[in-house]
Amino acid sequence: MLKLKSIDTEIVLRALAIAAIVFNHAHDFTHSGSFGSGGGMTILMMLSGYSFARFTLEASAIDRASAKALRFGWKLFWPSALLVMFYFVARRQFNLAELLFVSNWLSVNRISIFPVWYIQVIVQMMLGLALLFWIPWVRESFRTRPLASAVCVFLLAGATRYAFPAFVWDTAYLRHQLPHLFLWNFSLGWVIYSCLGSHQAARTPATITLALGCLLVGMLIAWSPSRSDFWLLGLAGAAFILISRVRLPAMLGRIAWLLSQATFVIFLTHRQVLATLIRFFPGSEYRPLFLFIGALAISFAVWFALEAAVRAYRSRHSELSARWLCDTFLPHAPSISRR
Amino acid sequence: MTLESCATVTPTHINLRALLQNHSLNVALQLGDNKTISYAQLLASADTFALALGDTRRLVFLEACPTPEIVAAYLACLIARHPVHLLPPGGGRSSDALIATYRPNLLVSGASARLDWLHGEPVALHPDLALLLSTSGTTGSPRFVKLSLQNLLSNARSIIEYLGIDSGHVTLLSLPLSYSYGLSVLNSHLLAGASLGLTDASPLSGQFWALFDRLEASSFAGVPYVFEALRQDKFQFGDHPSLRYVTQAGGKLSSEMVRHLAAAARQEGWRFFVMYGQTEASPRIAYLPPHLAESFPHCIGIAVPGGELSLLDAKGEAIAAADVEGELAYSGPNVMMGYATARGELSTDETPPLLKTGDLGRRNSEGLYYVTGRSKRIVKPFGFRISLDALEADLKEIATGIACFGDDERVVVAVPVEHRDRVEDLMAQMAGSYKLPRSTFSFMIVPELPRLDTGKPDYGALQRTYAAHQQPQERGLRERLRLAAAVLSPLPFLSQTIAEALALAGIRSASWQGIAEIYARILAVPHVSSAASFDSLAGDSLSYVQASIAIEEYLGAPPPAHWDGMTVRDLEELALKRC
Repeated sequence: MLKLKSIDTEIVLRALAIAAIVFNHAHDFTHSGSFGSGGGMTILMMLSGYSFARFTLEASAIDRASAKALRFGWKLFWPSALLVMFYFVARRQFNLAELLFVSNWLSVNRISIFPVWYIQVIVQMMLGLALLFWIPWVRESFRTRPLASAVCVFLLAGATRYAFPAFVWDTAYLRHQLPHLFLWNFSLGWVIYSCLGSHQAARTPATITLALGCLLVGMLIAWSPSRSDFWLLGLAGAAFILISRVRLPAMLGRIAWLLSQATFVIFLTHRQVLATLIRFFPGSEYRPLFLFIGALAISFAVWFALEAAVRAYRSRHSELSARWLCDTFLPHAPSISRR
Repeated sequence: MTLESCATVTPTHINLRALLQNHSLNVALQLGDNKTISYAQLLASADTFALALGDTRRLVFLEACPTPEIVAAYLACLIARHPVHLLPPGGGRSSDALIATYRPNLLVSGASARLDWLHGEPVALHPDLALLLSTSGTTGSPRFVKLSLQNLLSNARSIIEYLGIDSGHVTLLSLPLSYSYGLSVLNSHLLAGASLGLTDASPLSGQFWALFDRLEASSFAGVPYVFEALRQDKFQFGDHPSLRYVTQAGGKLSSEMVRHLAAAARQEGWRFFVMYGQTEASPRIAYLPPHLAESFPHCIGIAVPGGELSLLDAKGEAIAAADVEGELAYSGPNVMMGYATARGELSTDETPPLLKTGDLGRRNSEGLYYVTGRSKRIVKPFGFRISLDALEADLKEIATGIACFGDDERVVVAVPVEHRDRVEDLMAQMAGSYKLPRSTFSFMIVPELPRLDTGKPDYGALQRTYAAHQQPQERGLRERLRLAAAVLSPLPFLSQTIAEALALAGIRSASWQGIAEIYARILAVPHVSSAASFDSLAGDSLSYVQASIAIEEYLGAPPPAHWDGMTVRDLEELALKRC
């Protein structure tokens, strides 16, 4: 009999989102159809917003929101910055804007092979949010009316996404890869968290309807039904709102667990792996499935090896520290008083 | 002190069957599938089971699953006077060790109460001995508390009196029956002719509360971590209209939490009882009358009806004055018949005239008692009581000259250098006896045990030295590099990496030894206290998925909602309860 495992929907969606990103980029190398195969990024952004809300927007944590936003931004920034510098060295090119993580405001061309724009957008958004939550009345508003505040930010951000390129500055040439145009996507996660995630009692027909409504608004503002992003975000968002846990065959469940943990490393490495595969397997640029599976598997293996090594290091460190503690009592023994 | 060795059963002066038969027509048990079992039906099942047990008194070990069959088997043992020990459901190595130590004649296991005859070897049993329970700190330890039927029934009567349980009462079992608190809920409700719902659903689940509402249950019994987890989930007792009262025991609830619950009780029209007890008192010792909970949230209250609480000074004299600290002592008909650590100790009655609780306390001017701490040789990591003296005595069988000290966070064993190769054996012994995370135990190797003039170990000196060496900043750069080089030593590091990879892939089970270890390793934090939470350790969304998966692996079940705000202690208590 097939053994089933109950998995948090967030974990499954995270795994699917990173797989969708790799799938999309594997197709990038071959063609660009009108429907496209994008959508992973927008799901990941929504999940990031949800996680941010969980750690930052709870009443007990809101006073530390600015610090938490900065810390989160920093944790994304430094490994990405190291990778950017690696590409500068490897490709013998330099771009100050890219090093400062602001090149998304100037051009879509980058030296780095990984999608640095996404990290740039999040880091810039974190700086903005740190400023926003520095304002006392904003914190007070989130403390006393978390759902209304989240919806308010989402609607303002949605309006910005809709109106800013149309009436103020058309940033299509930058592919709209700017923090103020992605805040709707990030704050959609806040709305979902406030509607459903903060506690079981919040999950009422009214809040579910509100979350679904905001999801639909977000989909319509940013994408059109002729784009895969629209449908992927819609399906993933609805699943996230309506289903808290899913039952998967144990093997698939384990894969989802692992992929979701590997998201960040796969994100940083998969493009390089794709480029390497194309270089070493001529003609593979016309075999997107091969590229997708190869890039996902190799990027995952990189994470897996790193993670096993890090865990081994920490485990041995903890074990040897304990022994070290035992050992050092011997030289310090005279400090033990004897009467 | 008479000794009865597998003699034919003689009538006892307490006829439990007759007491229960008074409620024949009442519903005794209710199940999730709308099935009900009357007292008459339950007694009939118990009679059938008693027949199978035979006339000769036997030692029975019973796996305490929350099923009608097991409740009937438990009653059969009490009625037919077969001393019974309740094992936690699921068995495991600790149950096997207990069975090896006590060699019971019969083992009742599984939800359907399957009866296995292990052997017919006679066992010397005291005529009054009815029940054997593990003390709260020694689940799986061979030390049992011996209780008589008189102990159990007198305590159940006291509970019925102060909680006001009557035959119209319904409760839903929310605690394991192998736990003295859970068993006291069963005993008191059965004796009152009330009704019990049986479920294995966790009180943190919606399923539990749906059944609670369907049964129109009037009471709920919980331990501190349950109340804290429910509060974090914004749970409202007032949403359950049939609720009449809530009881809390099994560790100290913070004053703030007591005040919060007492205020909710007042506003929503139910009563909140803070209770205090020990397995040694079958188990209830004191309760705080609900109307005093808001004003005196730190108090354990007054002795249960029929019992008496007192305070003893260092010389063992009773303290009469208010607000003077002393050791809490209790006397009453519910005080145990003593301890047993082996099969040969089941024939004696060593009922102490006064039960010294090991807790320090005071009595305020209103006559309410409150706990201020514990006698220094008793610690309670994760709420589980460990006597350092008893532990030391156990461990000295493995290595002489050791000394144990510690606090509610950690137990440390000082080992003389000549016994340093026995550390693994000592750890195995402790891990086997105490179902606590391994991170609870630490070792320090000393050249020689420091001693006082009296010859006793100088625990103060050991404690100070240990504390001084816990400061990570004392580690110099050279020592850090030496440590890093040792950590990265190629072969052991590679072997550990392969082990970690296998665990990650699910080929080998993950070897998490505690929540503190999970946080230490995933968040790279050197020292994690039991009061820390994922949130307080600056865990974030990048590490959240990893940590939640590791905790699920450790608990063997999905972590509760908002686990990230729960302390290490809360999560470990949850793990222990799930065990």
